[in-house]
Amino acid sequence: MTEVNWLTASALSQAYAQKTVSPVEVVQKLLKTIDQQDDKIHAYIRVDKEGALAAARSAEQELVAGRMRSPLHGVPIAVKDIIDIAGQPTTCHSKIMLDHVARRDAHVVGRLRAAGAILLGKLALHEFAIGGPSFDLPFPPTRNPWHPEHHPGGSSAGSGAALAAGMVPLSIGTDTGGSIRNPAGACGVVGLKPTYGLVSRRGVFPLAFTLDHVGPMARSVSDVALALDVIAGHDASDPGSAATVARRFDADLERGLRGLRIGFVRHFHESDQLADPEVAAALDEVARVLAQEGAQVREVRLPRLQEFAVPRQVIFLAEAWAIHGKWLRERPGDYGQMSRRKLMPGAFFSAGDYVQAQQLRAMLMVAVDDVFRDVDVLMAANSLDPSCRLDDTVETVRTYTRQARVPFNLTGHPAMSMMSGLSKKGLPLAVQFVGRAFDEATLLRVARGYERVARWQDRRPPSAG
Amino acid sequence: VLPESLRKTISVTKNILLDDIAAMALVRQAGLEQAAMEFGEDVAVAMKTAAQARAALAMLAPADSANEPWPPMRVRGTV
Repeated sequence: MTEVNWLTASALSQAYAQKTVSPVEVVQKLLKTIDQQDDKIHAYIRVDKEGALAAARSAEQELVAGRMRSPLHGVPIAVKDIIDIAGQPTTCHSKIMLDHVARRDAHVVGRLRAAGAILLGKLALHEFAIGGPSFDLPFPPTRNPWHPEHHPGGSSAGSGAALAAGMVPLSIGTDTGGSIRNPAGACGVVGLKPTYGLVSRRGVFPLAFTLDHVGPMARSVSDVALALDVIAGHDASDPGSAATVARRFDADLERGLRGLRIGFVRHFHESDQLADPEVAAALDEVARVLAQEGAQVREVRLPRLQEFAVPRQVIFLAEAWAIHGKWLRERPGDYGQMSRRKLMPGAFFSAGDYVQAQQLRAMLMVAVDDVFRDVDVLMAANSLDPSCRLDDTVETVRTYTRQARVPFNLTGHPAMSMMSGLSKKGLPLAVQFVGRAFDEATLLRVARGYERVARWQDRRPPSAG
Repeated sequence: VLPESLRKTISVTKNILLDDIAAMALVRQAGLEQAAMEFGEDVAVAMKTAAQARAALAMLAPADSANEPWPPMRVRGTV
């Protein structure tokens, strides 16, 4: 029988309904796993043992009384430590924010609480979600459970690693340039960056206002859909929030792929930048599986990666400088070196540069929407290389920007990554799927259609207990 | 006076960056004097990154400079 720390949220929900396991047992097992594993992985910055156990007891009492608030009732979840939980520190993995204690819950946290989820703790990240790893911060960098000497992806590194190590069934990450999809891919789990505006950013420390997205990560597609059901929805306190209506994102999961049109963006990894052969081969295999399952897979063209990357970089740096400029002027030594180098360029752009980048962005959004007239979902590379060694600074810098994720931060389309294979070294490889704006249901349907056949979700890191 | 670490790095990357006086003017304009004194190489790297990004942006500039960019995130789709 699967140990309870490895059960998915969906399986936990079923087990609670059948009374074969209780939320208290699950939280106790997860806390034990964290005690045993996390001194090697460093996925957590803070574990709220007492709070989680109290919430588990409360969830259990409600279950006994016949009340199940949602499919996430009694399901433990952990959030990236850039997301506020009332009364707890939000450190952003930085010395700058060490003394900051959140006064109220982030919107997503409030929704999770209302749904009965149990908040297990705060997860490590790259400082302020900028990129990493860095070894000069108040907390150690997260390591990849598949190979602890290797990069776990980022910036939501803890959110990916905790899932892969069986230390939580669900997590929340943020994605400004791929920070959900990168660790999801590197750690062999599933991560979804929803459409811009679908999930509120209120109570999440910003990195770049018009590029920031909040989204769920899990070990299965259906768990990602369940979490999205809970956290999606309009929030008047987030100026970017869309006026969405309630829906079930898991409604189409089991409909299969027959009749769906999938556009394969090959040029991202075959000519714009050349992917590692193992990554490319895994993508070809994904396309074969999708076709075998009845989807029509055909090659499509978007603007080149560089055409997305340049305006995205200018927008990101300008917006991040607006947030961090004061601290960088007054407390530069309180940032890690990598963050200083990544944030200070924003000081040297003009207002005209920023507006011009936004003009380019508007054109790119139209270009991507045009492609969606002929296809339902896009598939593309995620990272162009298997994850490198964590201590290899040169390789980290080289590979971190070799990716195909930033286009969809710029355009706001929903995008997700999931495991598509294992490298010869035993490191997860990943594919990225991209949907029409606000059509997460079809995106998840494709991901589930692939998952059902490929079954990578059954694999675990060799060292995981 | 330009901090030595910033000067050293600028001289290495002079094909992109500026002379000492212009570089220091940019540092002052950004209010990064303290960072330049303490972490001159980091400031130099940042200036180089910005210069490269601005050069790349110039090559992609939209043909019609009157293209409307606002609001910056206007995701189209059925909500």
